[in-house]
Amino acid sequence: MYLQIFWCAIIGLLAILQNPGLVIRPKWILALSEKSGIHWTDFEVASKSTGLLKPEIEFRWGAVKVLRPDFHAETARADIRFSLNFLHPTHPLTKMDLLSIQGIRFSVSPSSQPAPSPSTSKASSGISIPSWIRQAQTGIIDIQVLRWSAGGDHGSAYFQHAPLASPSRARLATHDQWQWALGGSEVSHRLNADVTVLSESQSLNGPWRIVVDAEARHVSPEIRRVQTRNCVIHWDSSSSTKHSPNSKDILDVQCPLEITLRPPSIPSLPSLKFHEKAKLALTSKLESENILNMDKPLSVDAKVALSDIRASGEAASLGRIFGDLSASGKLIPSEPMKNWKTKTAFDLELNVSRFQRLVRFLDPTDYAVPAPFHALRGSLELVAKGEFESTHGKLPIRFETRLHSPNQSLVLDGEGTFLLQRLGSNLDFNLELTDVEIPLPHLDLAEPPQFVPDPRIQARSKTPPSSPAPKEHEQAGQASSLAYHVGVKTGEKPIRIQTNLAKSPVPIHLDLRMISGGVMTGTVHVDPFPLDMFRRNAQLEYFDVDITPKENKISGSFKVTYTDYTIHIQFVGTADQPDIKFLSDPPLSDSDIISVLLFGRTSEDLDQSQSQSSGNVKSAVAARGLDLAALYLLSATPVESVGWDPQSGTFSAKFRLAEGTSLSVTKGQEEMESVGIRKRIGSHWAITTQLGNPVDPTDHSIFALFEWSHRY
Amino acid sequence: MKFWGVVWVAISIASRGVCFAQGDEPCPNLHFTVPINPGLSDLEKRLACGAPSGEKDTGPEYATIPESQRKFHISTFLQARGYQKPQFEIRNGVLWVEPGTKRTVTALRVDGSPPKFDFTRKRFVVGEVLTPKLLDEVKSWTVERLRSLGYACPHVELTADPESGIVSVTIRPNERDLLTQVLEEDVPGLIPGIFSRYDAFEIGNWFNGDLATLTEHRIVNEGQVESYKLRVDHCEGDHAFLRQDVVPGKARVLTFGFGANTEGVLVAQAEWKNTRLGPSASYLDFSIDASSKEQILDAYMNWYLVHSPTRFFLKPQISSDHENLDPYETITIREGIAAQTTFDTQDVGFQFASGPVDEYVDTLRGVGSAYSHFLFLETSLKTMSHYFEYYQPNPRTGFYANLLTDLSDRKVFSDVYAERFQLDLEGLWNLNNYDPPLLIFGLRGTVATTETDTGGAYSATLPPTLRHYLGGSQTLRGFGLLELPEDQVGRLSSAFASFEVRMAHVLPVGIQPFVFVDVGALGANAFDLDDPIFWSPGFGLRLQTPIGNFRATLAHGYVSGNADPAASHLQFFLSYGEEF
Repeated sequence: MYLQIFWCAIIGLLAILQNPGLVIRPKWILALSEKSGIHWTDFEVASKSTGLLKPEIEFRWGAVKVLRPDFHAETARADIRFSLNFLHPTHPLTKMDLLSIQGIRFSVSPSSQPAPSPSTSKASSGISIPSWIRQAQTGIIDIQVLRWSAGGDHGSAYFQHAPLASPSRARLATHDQWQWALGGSEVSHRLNADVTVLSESQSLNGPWRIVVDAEARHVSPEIRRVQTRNCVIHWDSSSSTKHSPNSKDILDVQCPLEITLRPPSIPSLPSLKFHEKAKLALTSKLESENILNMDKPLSVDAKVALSDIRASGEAASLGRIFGDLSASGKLIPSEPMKNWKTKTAFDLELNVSRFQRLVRFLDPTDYAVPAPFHALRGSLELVAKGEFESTHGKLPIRFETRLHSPNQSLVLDGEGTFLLQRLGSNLDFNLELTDVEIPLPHLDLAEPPQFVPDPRIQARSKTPPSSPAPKEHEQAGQASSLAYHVGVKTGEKPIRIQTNLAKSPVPIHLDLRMISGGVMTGTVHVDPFPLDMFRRNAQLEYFDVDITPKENKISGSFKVTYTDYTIHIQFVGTADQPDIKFLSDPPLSDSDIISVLLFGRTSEDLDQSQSQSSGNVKSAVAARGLDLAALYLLSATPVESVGWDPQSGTFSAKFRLAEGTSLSVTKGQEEMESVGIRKRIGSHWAITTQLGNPVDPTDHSIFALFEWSHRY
Repeated sequence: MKFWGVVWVAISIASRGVCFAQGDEPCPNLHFTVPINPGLSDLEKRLACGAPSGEKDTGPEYATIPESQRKFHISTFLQARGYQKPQFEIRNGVLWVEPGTKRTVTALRVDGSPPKFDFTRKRFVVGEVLTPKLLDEVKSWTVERLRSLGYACPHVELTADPESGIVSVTIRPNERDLLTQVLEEDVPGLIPGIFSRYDAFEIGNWFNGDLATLTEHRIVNEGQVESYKLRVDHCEGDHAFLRQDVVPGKARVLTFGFGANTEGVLVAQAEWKNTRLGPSASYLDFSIDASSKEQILDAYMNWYLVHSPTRFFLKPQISSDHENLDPYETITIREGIAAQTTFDTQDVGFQFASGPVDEYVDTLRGVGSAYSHFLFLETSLKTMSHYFEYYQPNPRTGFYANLLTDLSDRKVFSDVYAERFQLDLEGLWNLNNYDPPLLIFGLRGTVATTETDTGGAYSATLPPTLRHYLGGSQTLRGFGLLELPEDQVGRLSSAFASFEVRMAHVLPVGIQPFVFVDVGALGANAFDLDDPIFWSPGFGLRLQTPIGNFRATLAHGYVSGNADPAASHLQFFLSYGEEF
């Protein structure tokens, strides 16, 4: 009895396997699927036998709708036909003969449940095609997706695949157009690919030799087109079916790429144009157990050779960039990038062999090299060579200039490293001013102009808006981006500034440090050098600037030598408000020292006007109303008189100029109504206002006298 | 630093003696579409043109200047001249510069101003050309005004928007300060604190920078020292500390001076003085003043007896005065000694003097005895607001009053009994307190009388110096100097009042027109005024120049009633240094 039932079941099963249409009844499928929210229209199933246990099944429907909370889909007419071979113990699917689904529309709603944490649950992603499907042959595939949507993204696509030759040789022509909105912006790509697939077997496992001629347009805003011709991809997945421990998929890519860029346009550098086409050679080898399974480790070894990137047109001869970029390592595609264990090697070099070409090129632009540096000739070079891992890396950088002109030198040597770290990147760079000599234009103290614009006069739009202090997280964000630490230091030779105001080049030593946020610290030291001050031989004994984030503190000393005296002018504080002290040997009072400096005589030998000028300078110095520039101008220009109003800070000076002319200048109010009862108008001369007649008590008239006076 | 840049530009302009436009093409490769004012200096040209300076810049480094750098330099140079939006264009290798119009200030916005600080009083900011120099001026004015209000340590910052022309002033006045102490510098030979006798301020009262300036002016004008400055040393909380900087200079001063007016023609003065006698800095002065109308020989001493800082001193004086005026010619010799002191509140200064004066009058011509001798007890009380004194060279505000009495009696070494009383008053009002002023109203007057037992004015005993006359630039400007009374006899009483309105700082080049009317009367007896009334409407011009102020008036004198029509006439005065 049981044996009869067994044999009946076997016979029934064989009958079903021989002709599955016996049990795959449309009504049954409709009844079952409606419970799952799937509604069919004109659903038909056709089944026929093509051999022993080799059925062919075809599903057809006029339309289908899937209405599930997280998934909505509908299609128009569809045909799916596949052939089975139940004699094969593990791979019954022999051929996907026809897959034609038209008018697909589907949308996926994101799950309300939180995504599992990667640390607690390994996410399954990517395409994992069962091997019994991958072993199957493919026939005509024609899938048209009118609209898909998932979350905030949506798009459309169609894919057509038709084997044109024998099963062992396929030609795939795809004309795909993708549109989707990401982050609110519409992106449209077009991919035209003509793929010739050669395979020794009809299995999806290959080995495949795929030759691709493809063109993708509008890849990104910066990349207009990516084109490849005769890109050879070798994919061998056949070994993975053997279930051996060493089985792997191998994807070997040898692709020449021609990338058409949308060159960056720099409005102020309209003449700087780069070649639109960049030629790269991509060589890569990817190995994985299952290359289509994003959860499987993938071994990568890729290299991009930058043959030569140059500017075009006039800028073509400026210099060039060349080098290699290679990456290798292991990664699991589905994991975050930070977990990838890859190494990227850089070997890049920027070389400007003729600085004058760069000068000439930049000359008509807003970035023109200013005088006197525009006269330099020579070369500059920037070399970056190093390795990056996925989360950290170290890129040594070297920069050097060898620039000279008849009266100046600019020899710089810089070395540093660019560190890529998990929390951000860091640039540490030291620039040594090996040999720097700079000439200043000939300055006539009677003529120096205003060299820089007054910062108080600035368009409101250019003034940085007064915004509240950055929030903590913003600061943290800034801290996590590029941090830099740049040092600038003179070498054995100081910087030499050539100026006609000094008898020899001014030797300057620098040791400056600039860190993120534009904070600069360091010191500037000027060695002794001779100069003329107060019409005498003088020497700058020392001058130091201590640069701190809060303020720049200066200290220094001039020595002015007279026949009878040696005067030291020491100053400390800030450049705008220095504390100036006068010392002399033999000792003199401050008044006498100032008198000697300004007029060459001690205060006892001055006339009234000179004494008052001396007193005004003394008072202005004491009130820190004289800055260093003013002190130097006073020292270098013959002074006739100096005025100082401590209440308004009004400082006035009258200079003796050539050809017996003189000029009064005033800092502050040009014309003070309250100039005083006695107004100096020159050496010994003044206008005095008197009230009343000294011998007539009834006379109270106000009158003025033009007066010459002499103190003795 | 900005100031000295401007200074250098100014020096360069002056050194070339050129203060007007250079034309529109400073060099072959630079063209200004309209001439700029002032033109470019030599170094500015070199940097703007990119041309080498020959022997000055021999190397190739400055043989050419890149175009963008030239634009930068030119923009900077133009900014200093008020051109804030220049446009550049290259045409056939030539840089064309459209300097545009000079940007003027359209509005002034002040943030953080303390009470009583009114920026709307400041003139000549809105509408003026926006330059760094203007900002310096506004800043100095602001600091000065804040210090006059008691804020000794203010912080002022300015910015300007060249697009809109708006100047923004940000003020951090800090606390209003009490003047706590003047930190003094010892002057060799003088007792400490000696200069406090000139203080126009009160220690412990609100700080006022103007009063510190006034104190400086008093000391320097007196000639006691060469230079005297009071500066804010520091502030502690609401306490301000001043520090004095003194350059004593030599004590002896020799001076020669001269002036001129239509009354005295040329006025000359020679003076010798020793400004620091003894540790109390007593003062000895000899002077000679001479004009065609008057010659004076004078010697006096301000003798500080007490060796401590004091305002009290004795003033012995001897003088000889020869007056040769239309009504009379006299020689007056005076010897006297007065006890004198001064006193200052925060707003007003007082001076009181009293003492005997022995006066001899030799009348060479005119009414009166040929020789008169008096021993007066002369007393004067003078008061002057600080701001009247502060603006004395350019009067604009404040008041002045002087009461003088000269008492003599036959019983006390005098030939006749004569008591002279004179009260002088003057007030000035600056309309709306604009700075600089727009309209200044002035009112002044004198009431004077001499009481004597010699009879009325027609008595021949009283010398002309004790009689009263009117007419002249200081009284009735429609009449000549001491023209009234017409009989030249002089009167025992006189009174006049003058009202003047001056338009200040409206017209260019310092021209200040004014109109006035003077009214006066004389009386033959003491404390009595008679008909007619004299009045003189007129107008004038005041010219403010760097070498002093000139004043010209043209007025018509009128006499009320049935007086002699010949007395009415036009009168012109021109003076140097005289003020209302």
